[in-house]
Amino acid sequence: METIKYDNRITKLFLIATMLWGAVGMLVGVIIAGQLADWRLNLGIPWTSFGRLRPLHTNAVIFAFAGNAVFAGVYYSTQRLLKTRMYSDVLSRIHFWGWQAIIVAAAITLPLGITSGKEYAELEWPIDIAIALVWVVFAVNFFGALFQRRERHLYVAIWFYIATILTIAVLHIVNSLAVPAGLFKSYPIYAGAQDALVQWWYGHNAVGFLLTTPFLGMMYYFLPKASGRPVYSYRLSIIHFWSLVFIYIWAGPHHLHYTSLPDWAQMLGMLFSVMLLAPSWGGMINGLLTLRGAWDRVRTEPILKFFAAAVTFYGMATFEGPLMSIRAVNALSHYTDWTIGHVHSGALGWVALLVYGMVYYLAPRLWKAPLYSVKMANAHFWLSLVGILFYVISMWISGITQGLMWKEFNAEGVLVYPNFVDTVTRIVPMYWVRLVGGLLFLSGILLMIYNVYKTAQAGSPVTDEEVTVKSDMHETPKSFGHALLERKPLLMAGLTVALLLVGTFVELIPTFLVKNNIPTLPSVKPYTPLELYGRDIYLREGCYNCHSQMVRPFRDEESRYGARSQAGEFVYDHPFQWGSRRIGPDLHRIGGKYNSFWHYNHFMDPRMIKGSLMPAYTWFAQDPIPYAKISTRVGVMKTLGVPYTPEEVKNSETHARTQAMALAQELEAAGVNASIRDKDMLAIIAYMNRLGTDLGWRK
Amino acid sequence: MLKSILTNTELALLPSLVALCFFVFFITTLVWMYRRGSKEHYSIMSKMALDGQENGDLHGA
Repeated sequence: METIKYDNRITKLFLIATMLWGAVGMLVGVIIAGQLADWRLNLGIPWTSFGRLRPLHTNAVIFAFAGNAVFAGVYYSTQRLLKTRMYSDVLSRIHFWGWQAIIVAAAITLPLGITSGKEYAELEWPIDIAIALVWVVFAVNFFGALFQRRERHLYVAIWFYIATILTIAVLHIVNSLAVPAGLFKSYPIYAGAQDALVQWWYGHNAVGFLLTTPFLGMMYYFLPKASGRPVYSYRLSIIHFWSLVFIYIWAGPHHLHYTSLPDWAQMLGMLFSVMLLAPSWGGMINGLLTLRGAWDRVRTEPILKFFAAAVTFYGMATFEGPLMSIRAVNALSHYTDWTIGHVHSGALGWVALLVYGMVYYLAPRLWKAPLYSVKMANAHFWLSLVGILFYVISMWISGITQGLMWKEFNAEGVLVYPNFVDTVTRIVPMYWVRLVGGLLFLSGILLMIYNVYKTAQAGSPVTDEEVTVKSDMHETPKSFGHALLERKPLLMAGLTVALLLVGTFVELIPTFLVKNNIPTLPSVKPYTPLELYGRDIYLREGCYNCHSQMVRPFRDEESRYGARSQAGEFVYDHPFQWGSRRIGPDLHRIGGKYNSFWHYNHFMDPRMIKGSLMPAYTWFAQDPIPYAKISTRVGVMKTLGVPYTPEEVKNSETHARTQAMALAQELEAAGVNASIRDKDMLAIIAYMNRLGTDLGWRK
Repeated sequence: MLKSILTNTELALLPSLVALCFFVFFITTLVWMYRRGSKEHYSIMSKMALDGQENGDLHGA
């Protein structure tokens, strides 16, 4: 026997970070929910506009709140399941402080408009590199602990952690491949439909392997702990693990139904999304049945309440997801608030409630004091639950209402709501309901922070936990075949990576190699230098958070927006901007619909369209175009394969100035002040005028 | 060569082929799980999370 010490301090650090960043992320969520209910909350300044704050909200809750919670749970449970301290205290500290530095960098750069323009992967290349490095530190620390373990068998929670660490590394690196065009600017190596496929392969699997697998690992550890009951069926947990890892990686294309992605890829995404229901529900049933014999305590114990509700929401969200991935359903749900409701039933219901249960479980153990107030924890539970219901139900109503309104034709075959804004004003009351739900949820986490603070105050400083364990490897009873797989982390990791890579390559490579997947359209030309910079402004302001650029092949969309989008139109789009939500109308066919003066007035005062929620972008008329940067950006595009000639790259600044002057003169002729010359407004208008015009369909 | 193969492949069959692969994988996993002697083994494994500390005492120090 020997005495070892578990590192509780690192768990404490990540736990505190989880609570603090959770409050920040949810506060920003409440603010942007308010901005959609009343546009004036954008405050008229760039850093607080919806398009810049929404990525801050998503990054904060995904990577700061959920990320820190994962690390807290993994560091706590791994040491105990493997009966060893983490591999290196230094690596643990580098991991913690490195991750917090990344979050701070994100919190500074995103409101400044420094973004890659890829949803859920907005951080620019220096931060992306930092994420990769810190993740490697985490991986070395984790696998180091695996190899020095004193427990032969790898419990199923550890399998889920292995899958998380390896898959996130691959997803992050592949999706973040980009060529820098300055310290704070880069363009992804992929374009158009290919970029869309890579992005949603990443986006969907980030949900799968950052917000699902590590939390399932934590469920399989903390739920038995809290209930005092063993896992209901260990066999089911194995089926759950392998099926989930196999299936998840294929499901990403369901985010791109009816887009210009090849049909076979869409079908693949739909099929595997529907199949995903089975392992997900297997896990849910396993979680709920683990509580058998402890259900009476759920009535009184807030921790069990949080866990039971979290697992139930996991079941609901993983039923709703496959349902929404069916193309016929997706035709209605996509681009509406239904998606937002679905995402939050998973993020708030599954992830956050599980985290809260874990925090209440860990706080008394770390600070060695009884929880300050069980009543307060119970109140937190009900605030959270009611908050989620307000949020999700309002978004269901809003999404289905708007989706149906978009598609409604009258008896004469004319759109009933041709003006997009009519479908927005109808759902604003639901945005107020959502705001109430968000406020309730936010008040819950604040209550928890106070409760944990008081618990810590009454307790003693967190110290390492001393335990006595067997010096040699703890053997479990041998069974045939057990030694072949379930004790071998490298083999387990190898199999997981093999499943991941096969899914990735088989899904991605045909889209890249088979030419008729993305037919060439001779009339499609690269953006002019000024349009390219205008597109960068579009990314900077996060316009993709409210506007799609994808006219789907539906009668209502073609009637409202124009000709359906074709894959070949996006071949120079680094990154693609198809979007995922329409709070404003689709913009792919906006070019030629309005004149430059209309765009100028609209950016200066979007209330020229009564009921519009869009913030004003008056700074477009003040900020000068950085002409000196344009040639570098055009040069990078050429490196990426956009067919600019060397002459065009060399003369791009001159070309941009010429086009800007022509636009300025057009605006001045319409009565705009001459100060508009050389301002950002000209570039964004140039981009708007160009969008979707390559096919000449308006003629 | 890969490009040529993929270009001449009916990609619409891909979803069915991958689903078939999953079915085989799933059956293999099932067979693996129900191998001889595994019941007792998994019964012990299911209690692993309960090793060590107190369990079920939720609010005590």
